[in-house]
Amino acid sequence: MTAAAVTDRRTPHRLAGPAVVTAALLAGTAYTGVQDPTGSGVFPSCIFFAATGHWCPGCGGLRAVHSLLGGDLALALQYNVVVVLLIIPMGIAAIALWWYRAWRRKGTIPVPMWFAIGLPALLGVFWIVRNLPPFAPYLTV
Amino acid sequence: MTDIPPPPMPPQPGFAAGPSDSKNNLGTWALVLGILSIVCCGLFAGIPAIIVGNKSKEAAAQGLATNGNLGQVGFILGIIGSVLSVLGGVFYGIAAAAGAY
Repeated sequence: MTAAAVTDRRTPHRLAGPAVVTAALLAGTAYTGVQDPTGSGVFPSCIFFAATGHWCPGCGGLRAVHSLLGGDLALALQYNVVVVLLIIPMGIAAIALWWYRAWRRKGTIPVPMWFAIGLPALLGVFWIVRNLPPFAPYLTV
Repeated sequence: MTDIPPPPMPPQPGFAAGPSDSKNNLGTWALVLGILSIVCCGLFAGIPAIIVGNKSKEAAAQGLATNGNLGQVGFILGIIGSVLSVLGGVFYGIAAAAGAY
């Protein structure tokens, strides 16, 4: 047995991270598609909504995924427009990039600072706006 | 000639001239966990974000990462998400105990 083979047994394969995360997300997505967050199935509910009665930036995300998988884009957008238009596409892009960079041994995905500040700031704005009475009918269900 | 141990060096001699980015993944993970703590998972992503963010800042201080400020952002987001979910839980507990639900 070579030294490289011994090292391989001790450290996880470089594709193990993206593989595990992809598998977990696919399983969760399939479950959310088959079960209905508004009816059957066991889904986590939002503790912020339970406590305050206001929507958090992620509220409606699981229902939006369920609607998307059922082909109802309009309903999905109303459940959570930010999750549908931003979080899901970015998540898919980030995981694809993670696979690519892990495969090519290019190291961690570099995240620019404007993005690290801007995305949470956008989520904060969405948090407030979707709870304002004039906008709530369009940004929540 | 006495056997004096050499001073601690960065583990990658090839990059001794500048800071290494071998632990930059900590900063990226801290940010991902911090955002998750805001969007969905509160405490359950927030506390890992605080821990990983701290490790990222330590790694940056030791010259093993170049994105310690990313770890700092994840650290702060983790605190915000955790505090809000704890406050929410306490509020919910009080309301439940008072029979509001």
